[in-house]
Amino acid sequence: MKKAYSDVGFSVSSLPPTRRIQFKDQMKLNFFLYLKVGFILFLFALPLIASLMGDRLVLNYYSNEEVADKSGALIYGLIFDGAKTISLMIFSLGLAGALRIYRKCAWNEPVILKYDFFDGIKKNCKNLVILSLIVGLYFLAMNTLFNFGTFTLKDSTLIFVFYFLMISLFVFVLAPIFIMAAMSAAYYQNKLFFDLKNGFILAIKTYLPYVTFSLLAVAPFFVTFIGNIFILLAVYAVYFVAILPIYLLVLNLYVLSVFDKYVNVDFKDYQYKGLYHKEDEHE
Amino acid sequence: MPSIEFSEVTAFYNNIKAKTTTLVLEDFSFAFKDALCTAIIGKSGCGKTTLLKCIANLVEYDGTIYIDGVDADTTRTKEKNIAYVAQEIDLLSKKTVFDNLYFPLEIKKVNPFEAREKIYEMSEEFGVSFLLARKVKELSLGQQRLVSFMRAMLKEPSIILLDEPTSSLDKDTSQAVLSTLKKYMANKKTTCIMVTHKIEEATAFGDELCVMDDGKILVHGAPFDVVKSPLKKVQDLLGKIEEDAA
Repeated sequence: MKKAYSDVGFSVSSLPPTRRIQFKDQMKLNFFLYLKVGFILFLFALPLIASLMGDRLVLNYYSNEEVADKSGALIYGLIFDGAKTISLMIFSLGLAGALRIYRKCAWNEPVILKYDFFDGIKKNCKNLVILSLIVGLYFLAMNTLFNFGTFTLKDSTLIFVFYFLMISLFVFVLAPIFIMAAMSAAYYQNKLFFDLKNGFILAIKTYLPYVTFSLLAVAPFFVTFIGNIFILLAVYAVYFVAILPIYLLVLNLYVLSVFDKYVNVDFKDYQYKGLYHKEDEHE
Repeated sequence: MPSIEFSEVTAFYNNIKAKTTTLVLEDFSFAFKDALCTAIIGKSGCGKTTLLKCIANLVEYDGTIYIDGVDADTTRTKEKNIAYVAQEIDLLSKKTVFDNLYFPLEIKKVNPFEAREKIYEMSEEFGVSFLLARKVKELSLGQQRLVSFMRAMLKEPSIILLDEPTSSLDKDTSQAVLSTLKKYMANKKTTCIMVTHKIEEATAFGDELCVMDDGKILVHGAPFDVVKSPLKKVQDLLGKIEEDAA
């Protein structure tokens, strides 16, 4: 039988020394907590999943050559893009709660899932909801212009180039800033403008990892090409319950390492919080 | 500090399988002083643990136990506000330290944010705040014992009963754990009755020392006086206990 105690015990120096090691430690310590968070996020994502799937169904219907009148695609596309914006805002509430849990875990603080999740919604929701609204409106405008263009223009090459540029602008410029701003909102009580400014500066300083993070963040929205609605649902369920929580953990710990390096230099109480940092002993 | 008085208490265990009855305490009468901590020392099976269990209402007994002059049998355990820390560590090893401390408060429907504050405050006092988010199985036995004490103290008991609190701990850890606990209890003015088989520990931790044998208190008083007691039976018993401990 495995021993239910440790011979050496747990001291401050037993805490992980780096955020990278903290990832392994957290996976061992709180894996099931993260899965629970993932499940809650999945529930918050249900409206978003429904609108993505609804959009897919409309696309499937109007891509059928037997349907002569394609104008409905434009109207339904607009409706579903509007629904996506609203459901993205609902999902951002879940994200606000989840980020509170991640913050507590990274800072080696105990978690009461039920209360901390709602506390997170209360404390982080404002900036996250606004950010999600901006993202939603960006995609709404982009998709509407794309749909309108493909419907009215005879040569759709230009509209595909426009679409590609808009997507690239989002993935390579806006998303890294927004991700950093969202994380900043979860860790500090700032005004949104300040979070965005922080996000911009830090995203420039550590650009490559953020592009990777933003690519991973938008990836699920591009799997709608999967035609089968049930497979699509299964992919989303796996993504939100199992992949997203781990992605968020990696993102959180990475962002914290960036904060430790650039921001928390001025906030010593937060710097290396949750880690064993040798310099602390000498202070 | 509450006073505890035993009046003609008889306690026994029934072994249903073997159809036998073991008498542990018989017409036991004794008044514990309003001391901060009373240490009870004695050989295994002399009735020390049963005595604690009688106070905590964990065994059936005949006779009367008065707590602050009131028959303990007429008041509900909850109202008596007694915490009993068993010899075995009964923490949930796969849960975090915080969860182990929080569950009893959650059952008592304490506001979660108040409960958290209370736990934070206590863990600061015990110097273990960095342990709250860790799993119990990562802790040493000494640390786990400390968490058991914290869990008992979170109830803010007026009486705490410690049954062999440092069994399976080394000397240094025992001293560290007990001195932390004693400091905390002194601040909260908690009455403590501790059962032990370690003379050194009983004299260091107890303000009052009782030597127990065969269901009876042989001698009691200030620890130094008891250890130097001229009674041959007491000296023999202490010698035997020391021998067994070694």
